[in-house]
Amino acid sequence: MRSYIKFVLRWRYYVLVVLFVSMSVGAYAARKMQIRFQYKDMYTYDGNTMLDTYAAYHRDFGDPGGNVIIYIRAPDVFAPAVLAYVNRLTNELAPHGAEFSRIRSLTQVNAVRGEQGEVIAGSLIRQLPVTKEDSDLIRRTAIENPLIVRRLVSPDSRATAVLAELAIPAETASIEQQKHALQVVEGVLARNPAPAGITAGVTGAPEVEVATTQALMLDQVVLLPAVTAVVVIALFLIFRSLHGVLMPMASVSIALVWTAGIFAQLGRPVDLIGSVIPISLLTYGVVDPIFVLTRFLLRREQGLGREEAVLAALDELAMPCLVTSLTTALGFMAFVTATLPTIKSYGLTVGIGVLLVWVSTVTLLPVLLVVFPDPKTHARGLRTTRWAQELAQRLWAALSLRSGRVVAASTVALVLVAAYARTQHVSNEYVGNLPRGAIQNTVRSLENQLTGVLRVIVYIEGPRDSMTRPELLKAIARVDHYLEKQPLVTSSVSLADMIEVSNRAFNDGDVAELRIPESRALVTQYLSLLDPADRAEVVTQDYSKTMIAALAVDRGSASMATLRENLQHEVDEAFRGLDVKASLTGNAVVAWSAMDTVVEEMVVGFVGAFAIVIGIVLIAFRSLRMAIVAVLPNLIPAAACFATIRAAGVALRIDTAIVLCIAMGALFNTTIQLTVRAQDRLKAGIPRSLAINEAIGDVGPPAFFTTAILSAGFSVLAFSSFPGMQALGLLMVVTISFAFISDMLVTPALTSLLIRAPRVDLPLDASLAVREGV
Amino acid sequence: MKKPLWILPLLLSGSPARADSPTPSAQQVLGHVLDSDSWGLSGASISAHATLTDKTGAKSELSFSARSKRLGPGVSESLVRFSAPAELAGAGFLQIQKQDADDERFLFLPDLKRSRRISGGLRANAFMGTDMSFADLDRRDLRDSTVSLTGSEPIEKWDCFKLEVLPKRADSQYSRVELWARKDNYVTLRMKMYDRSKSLVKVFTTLEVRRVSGQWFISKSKMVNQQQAHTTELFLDQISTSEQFSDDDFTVRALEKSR
Repeated sequence: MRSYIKFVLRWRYYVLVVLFVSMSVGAYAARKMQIRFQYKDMYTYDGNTMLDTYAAYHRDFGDPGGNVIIYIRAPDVFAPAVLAYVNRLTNELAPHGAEFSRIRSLTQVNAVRGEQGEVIAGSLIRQLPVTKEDSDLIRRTAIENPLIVRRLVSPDSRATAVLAELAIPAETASIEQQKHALQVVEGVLARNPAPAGITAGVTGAPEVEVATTQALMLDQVVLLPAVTAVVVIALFLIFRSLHGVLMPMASVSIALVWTAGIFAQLGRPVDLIGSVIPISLLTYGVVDPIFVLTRFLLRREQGLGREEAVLAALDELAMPCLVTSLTTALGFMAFVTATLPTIKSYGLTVGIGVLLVWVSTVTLLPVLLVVFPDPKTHARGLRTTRWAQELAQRLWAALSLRSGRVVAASTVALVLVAAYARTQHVSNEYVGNLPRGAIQNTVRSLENQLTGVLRVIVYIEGPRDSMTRPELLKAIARVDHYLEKQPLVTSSVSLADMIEVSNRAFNDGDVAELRIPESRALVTQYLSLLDPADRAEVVTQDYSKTMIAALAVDRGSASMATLRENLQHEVDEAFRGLDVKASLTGNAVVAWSAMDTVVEEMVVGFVGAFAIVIGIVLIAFRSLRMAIVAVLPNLIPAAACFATIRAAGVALRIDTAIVLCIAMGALFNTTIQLTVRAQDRLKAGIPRSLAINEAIGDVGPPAFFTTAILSAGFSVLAFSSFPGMQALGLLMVVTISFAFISDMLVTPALTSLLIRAPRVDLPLDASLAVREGV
Repeated sequence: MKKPLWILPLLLSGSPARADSPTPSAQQVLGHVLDSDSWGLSGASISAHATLTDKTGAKSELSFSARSKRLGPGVSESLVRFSAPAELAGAGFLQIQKQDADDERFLFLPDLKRSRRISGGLRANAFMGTDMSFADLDRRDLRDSTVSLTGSEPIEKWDCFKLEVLPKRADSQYSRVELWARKDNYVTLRMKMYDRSKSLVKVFTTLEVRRVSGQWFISKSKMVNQQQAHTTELFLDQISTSEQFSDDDFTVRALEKSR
């Protein structure tokens, strides 16, 4: 390592040129990066067996839930003025066939009904009402029709919707396509402001995805500079010089640019998970340069020349930093085994990024330290270091004679906290995860007043013409009615509804005839009379496939899992022996199942990564005792994190469970640094307590600075638009703080009890590095 | 480039137009087109079948017979009786067009054993699940319109008048119809219908014409709903103009008479 540093210093200007060129290449490659929030990214992955059925459902029935919705509220939406307004919006949207495949509204929808021997077919509203009687007649027809109520109008007549279904299904449309469709709708609304007493706004899946993408971009615009500012302030407080700020920042910045270039090559968008990558790397990445710069300044203070000081500092730190970077990187890379591409790319990118930070620390930083003059005020910076050193050593002095008790108490605390944190609530959300404010409020209002936004679909496949069988339609009606009774479900429509409504219409509007007729021929006759566009929404041309489409409110995947389980049971019962295949699909089924699985994977992945790092410690240092020492101090912050999740009532979901990935970077480093240094001093014959005291003196200040920077860095997430990111920030601060406390209390105590004889042989470079540090 | 096979019957039927005829006005051309009754909707008896194809390629068949009687200029009465699919066999549809009032429509479903009067804004709705709407069949959008002759265009070897028709009716589903009619016999060879949003919604294509008792009929045609990727191919299998019908043949009683 020493010869590498010498080489770098010798050819310093060439190295600078190479680094500049490589950074430019990284920046050029990173230009393709795209910031995007689409829920499909959370459940679309190879091997998701539910996707085939989901794709088949989309192929046969499009994406009926993928609408841009103009959500209109008024004291009575059937009032002539409101219907005239709805009609105006509908007519204005109709010419936009390139953007929307179909516009549905109260003034456009078909409704068949029967009265006194007459079947009234065609549009629900043939002429806009003029009198209250006209309005009431339309209201009664609409509210009684299961295909309209809670889809286009609320049961209390206070809310209605104009649904513009995207020509390209919302599930597959790009953000740009969705944004364009939204602009069209917003333009129509701008040209047609709501009359007095009526409120109108835009919502729906495309609006949510576009607005959330914008919130994600805003987060990047706000959070990254905020984290940078926090890191800059922290660096200034530590080093009290411009030098102390610029050099570590330059070192970490080049690694960030390289990583961005690599991330762009993975072809993944920056989504909710990916948005944490720059924050993670910036905060973690600055740690190694702090260690090196601190040691460089100490050596300069001891009178070494600049090059000698750089060599001495990196002789001590290059290998320990490599080991900790490797453990951190491998911890992150353990998530490469995750099924979800976004988690994979997160683990891979941060893992690579951590290693690149190390490369930059041993390449760019030494050159900068030699090329630029020393900071003039570094003595003040060293005072901060000494203060932290004294604080850590005093703490150890107070506890050094009570190591056994400290370990026992910590173990008991860990068991108690683990017992408390054992029960975790895994529940992913869609609406609850949206940025707080107008976006979330509108969707919640839509859920409460009109319709849910999650689609639960029963997709039914059978032989040609099978969907006209009365017994099968009765089974469909049974499941449909079951869904309608579920508290989460706001509406459910099916082919059975269409047949029932037709049957009633052809029987003089008799409510008792709202049923499936016994004659298969009559069913076929009713179906033949339906408008093909209406019919195609629920059954294929050859009557071989149909669906029951329920819309549900979002109360989290746990509630949805219960509904799914019960629905599956009902479906199994209803369709038994009917020679059809009935599968559950829809975003509430496919996405939620996949996301819950991913969260469980992340927990398992964390356990795996933890075990991998312990294994690396065991192998790298060939010491079972060191491996054992590394377990307890790092289990404590993990348990504290889980306990906080439970205590704060935060569910484990994709955006909060990512804490398990990120926390891997905050664990083990201080433990390893401290244990290695203590062991080396013991090997040199220094008495146990003094050896540990000196090790704490070495490791305590940078560990303290690291904790302060990481906590401050991740606490910036409190300013995120996303509730999950805010929770993530809190969890990171808790984990990092507990990791530091645990390392200052438990690691020295365990080292004191377990690291007895210096029988381990460190790798040569590591031994040299550590010995030089004594 | 290969020509589609379906063009062959078109090429083989009829005779080319004479180029020396004086050019009639747009209104005259449209009048001839409407009077030509090439679907046999006013004064013929036909048996036909239709093949419906949806966007996934799934097909279904519909067979029916129809008789019609001309009541006056632009209005007629007609009775359609379905024979296939089996479940639809016996179902019937009666339409009596009125000059200055809503058309009367009745539907007979054999399993209900009685007919029902059908009312409401039905013109834009599909006729028995096909891509023809009631409006396509009553042709009022063409009759009650502003028409202009936009030129002559050949379709295959046939010289055609090209008309642009702007329906005036408030309940019309179309904002504009482009129509190509053969110059020699005024049979419509192609129509393009644009919805109220001015997007192309349907394309009608004549695939085969047949002359029966001196009258030209479109014996094979295709209507494609561009927006729904749904297609209806209509085949007139038998055409007769010799039968004489009385008004009693177009009553609810006649409709409810079995098959």
